Amino acid sequence: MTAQAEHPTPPVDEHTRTSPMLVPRRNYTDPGLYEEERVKIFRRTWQLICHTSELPEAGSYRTARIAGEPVAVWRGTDGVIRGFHNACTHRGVEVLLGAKGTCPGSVKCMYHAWTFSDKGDLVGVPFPRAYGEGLDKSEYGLTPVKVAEFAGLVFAAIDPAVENFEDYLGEAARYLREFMDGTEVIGRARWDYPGNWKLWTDNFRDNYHPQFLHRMIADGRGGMQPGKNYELASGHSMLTFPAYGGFNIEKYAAGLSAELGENLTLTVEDSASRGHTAQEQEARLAAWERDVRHGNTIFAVFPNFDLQYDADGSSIFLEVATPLGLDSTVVELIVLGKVGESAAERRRRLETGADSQGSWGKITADDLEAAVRAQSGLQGTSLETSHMGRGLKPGKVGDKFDEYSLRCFHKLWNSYINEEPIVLEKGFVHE
Amino acid sequence: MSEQQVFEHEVLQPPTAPTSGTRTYDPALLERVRAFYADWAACLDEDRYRDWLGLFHKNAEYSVTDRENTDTGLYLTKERGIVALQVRAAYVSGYWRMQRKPRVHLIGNLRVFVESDGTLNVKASVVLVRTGLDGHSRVHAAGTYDDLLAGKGEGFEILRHAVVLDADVQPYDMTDIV
Repeated sequence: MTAQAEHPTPPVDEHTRTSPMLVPRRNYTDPGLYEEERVKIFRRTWQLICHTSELPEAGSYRTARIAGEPVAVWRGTDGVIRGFHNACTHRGVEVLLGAKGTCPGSVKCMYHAWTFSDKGDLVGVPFPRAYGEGLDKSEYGLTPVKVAEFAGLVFAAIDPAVENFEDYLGEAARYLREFMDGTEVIGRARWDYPGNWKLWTDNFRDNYHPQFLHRMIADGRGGMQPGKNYELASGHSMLTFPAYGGFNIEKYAAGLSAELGENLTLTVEDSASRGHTAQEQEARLAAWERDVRHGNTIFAVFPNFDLQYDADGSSIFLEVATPLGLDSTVVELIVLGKVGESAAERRRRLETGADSQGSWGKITADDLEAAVRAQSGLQGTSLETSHMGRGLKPGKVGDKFDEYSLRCFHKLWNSYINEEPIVLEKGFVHE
Repeated sequence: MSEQQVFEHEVLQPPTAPTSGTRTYDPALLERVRAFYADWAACLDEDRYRDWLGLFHKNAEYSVTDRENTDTGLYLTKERGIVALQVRAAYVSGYWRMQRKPRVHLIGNLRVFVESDGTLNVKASVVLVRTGLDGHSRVHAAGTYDDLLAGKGEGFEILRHAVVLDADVQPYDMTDIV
């Protein structure tokens, strides 16, 4: 019997027939596949770089790496945000330095002072006559990368043939626009971990694990919860669940007390979850049942970006998981606030916006431990595949703990790696 | 020709806030402060978190940020009051799903300023060395303290413990108290 034969036979519904329920473990451990991902996925897809509020004035720039290559987005004196490979066309030195900065109008390379305008044109070469007729400055401008501004976010793509960004988003465009409305960046933080980047994207598309991995959730909200798990068109996904309270503060306190060896008496204000009256809970559940956008949402854009949004807007953040190597990933946390919110609300966000997330966070630290243990476990040969087969009813929508969101990622991942035509689906799953 | 104004951690402003207090060189006082931080480090390195909680005033604040966010004001962690500190101590004690690793806190370069109300503003450097699952000891975090201490008996209690981490990329398991 082969290892795969131990798993149940997939049903023959069109959705599950074309979506991988069994994901090869070598996808996380094979150096050759990682190199293919760099070329076939990260060079060919849109990558989140920053929010427009992080490029506030002429000359503002931010740098990043896409598929290992240095890129920069730079606001010109004409207000336009452009993207470039961040390497001097002379000898390859990075021209825009640091994670962010301001350089209005033009930039002079630190090495030999070749100078580029904010449109990327080479406008200055010291002592040019030594080149004779051999240097045509028009051929030595900074190499552009594609830039898309959408819902206040700035994305970049290396491949000039990448799809139009809104087509790339498909139905996800509508949600991203709604979630980002009226937001601005209030801070960033980041962490790295010794594991493959897909362990993070799998994690934020998976809502089966929280009640087991995170003791706060296990104690406070254990058991089956209402929620929806959506495959959105073209590899994007959305998990959503009602923003109602019902947090079991006594059980949470008991779990903490047992570890500390001292009795803690907590009120709901001491938990990471706000409490709600029974009436409020009913109203929130009803609102979510009418429209899932009135719930807490984890929204993912292929390949490596997610947005997490509490229904009341009390917590909004973005994450980008960028591979540094086969088993090395850095995750950027971008914390958002609401434009024009009160000073007290802004202070609350600054104090709590990164508290549950991050390698220091009460939630995320558990996820990272699981990711690191998974990277180790996946090296084994006991099974060739990981199982992502929860939720088998036809269609693209399942319950909270189902895995439509995971399967649509791996389905598109396969298409990119196998260089199949990428068919961008349009239309909405639900209205 | 414009020059780049670059924001990298090495060119940010010093992370500790200016003090209004008067620098003290009183050897006896400095020795008491050093002893206090030695006890603090021992509590953390020996997993004695209930003892560690005993070093705080009931309304104390504990915060951790990084250099980058000294500009933005975003905290990685901010706990207000002893209950919040108890919750954090419980997480560190085992509520998180991870194996605790051996660690050493090294606290030095203490500078003590006496504030007008008699409290002490202590600025210090901290290095946390941790031994990972692979058995190797490595620097896990480095940064600065900007603390406020009040006298309590022969020793002190913490009113404010504010940490600024040097790194702008944190290690995957940044769950130790710094």
